[in-house]
Amino acid sequence: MILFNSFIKRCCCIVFFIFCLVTPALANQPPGPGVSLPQILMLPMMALLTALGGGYAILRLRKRSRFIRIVRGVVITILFLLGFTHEGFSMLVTLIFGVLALVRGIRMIVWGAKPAKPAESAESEPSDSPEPGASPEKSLSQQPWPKVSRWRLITAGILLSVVAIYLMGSALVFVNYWPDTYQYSQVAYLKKLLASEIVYGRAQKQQTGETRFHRIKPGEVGPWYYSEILLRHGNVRVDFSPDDKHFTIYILPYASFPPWPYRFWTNQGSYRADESGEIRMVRVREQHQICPPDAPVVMKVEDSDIQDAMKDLNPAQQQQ
Amino acid sequence: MALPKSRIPVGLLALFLLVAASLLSGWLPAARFEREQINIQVHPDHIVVDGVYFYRNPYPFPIVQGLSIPLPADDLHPLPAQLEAEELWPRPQAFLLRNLLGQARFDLPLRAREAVCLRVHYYQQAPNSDARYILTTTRPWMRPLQSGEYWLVPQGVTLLRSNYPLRTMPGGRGVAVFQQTQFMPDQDWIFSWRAQ
Repeated sequence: MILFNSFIKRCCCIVFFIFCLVTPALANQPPGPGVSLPQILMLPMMALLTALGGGYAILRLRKRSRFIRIVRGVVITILFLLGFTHEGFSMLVTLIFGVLALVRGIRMIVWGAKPAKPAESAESEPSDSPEPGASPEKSLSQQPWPKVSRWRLITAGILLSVVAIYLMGSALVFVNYWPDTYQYSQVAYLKKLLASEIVYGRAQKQQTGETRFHRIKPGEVGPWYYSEILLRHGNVRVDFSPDDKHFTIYILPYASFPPWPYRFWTNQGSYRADESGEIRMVRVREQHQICPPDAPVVMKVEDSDIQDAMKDLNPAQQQQ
Repeated sequence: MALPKSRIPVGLLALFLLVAASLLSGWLPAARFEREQINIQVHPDHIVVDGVYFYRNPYPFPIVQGLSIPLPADDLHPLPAQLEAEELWPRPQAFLLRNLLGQARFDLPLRAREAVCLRVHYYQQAPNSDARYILTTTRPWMRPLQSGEYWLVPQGVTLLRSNYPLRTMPGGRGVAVFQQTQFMPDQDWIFSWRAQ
């Protein structure tokens, strides 16, 4: 009854369950920047956990003027909408809401930790300071103290604090986090480089009878400038066998991953390619995790790539 | 549910917040998804997908619509590679992508009452000579597509089957298409082919 005794609490519960039931496979996601979810979740979570902990029974003692309530609602609405205009604003709004939730959680813990006193002797309890704008005679310390389970207050308060910190952290971690910025171009250059290596290897076999590949290195120009572009970023590793008959190129995740536990929210592609012309890929959550040799093939060098590479390489070979 | 008179404004506010929360949770998208034109080049062992999508902001104020790209991958179809998203008009630009909660995502800003056209491109291996294009993600947009065009362009293959009836273009070297208006798909597009 304490939990479901008001329309607002029911609404909060409905909102909470809506968020729980949203499937991740939607083509669309919430309006606003991609990191707006913590901002959206913060206030419903605060309301829900306050209700679960019985905090509203105490908060109801605090009589606020209609003017204060209206101003507060307007400010929250403006902040809420502001957060959907830009990723940076979303982070700020999440932090503001998060601080409010954190304060609420700590207050619930304090309320729960204090020994409950009978309503008639509640003159000095709790020592909560009155809200700005609230008249002193209506402060919590001068109201009869309702009977609320202490363990519920403390548990919900701790949970609310943890949730607030977790959501605030997610806003800080993912704002301006675009790890896949170079992935498209790097894979395209890798494919071109593989085609060049295959053409070079075939030419070597015709000339020497053995297939050897061109050992790429930083600073190359001409037909091998793809390797220069690839090696420019520090996330590409190249392994050649001593006799240059085999090679493996790895494209590791470019961007560093967010700290635990947020790294489980995201992943990046780790690629592997060799003289077969096949590019393999797995999604990983460690920056230095290499793609295993049995990973799925996601791309292959095609005849058209070979033709293009021959056009690029033949003039160079003629010069040699 | 009896609500005291003093609580009615608060209840109405809560109801408003509930609707807003539904909107913001993605159940009621802010932008409108109006049209799409999908062009799939079918090669013997892979497909290259180019999707052109039209969105509109129906509101007199700017919005940012977060979008995720649903990719059809399973045990027999590896994850697509070379995923790319760009705005074609009115402001041509490439979108930065990030993978969050298992989906590639980006943000699409729309000015007041603005229509935006964007393109998504990817390459996917198809070792079993079949593929799937996800259409059912239109449903969360709550409105049917005004129109949709779906093209298959064979590149050295012969098309075998499609769960949506295809019309072969005369003189089009096997190019096949299906078109729909007021389209709210209840199944994805699955098609197969064999190498010539």
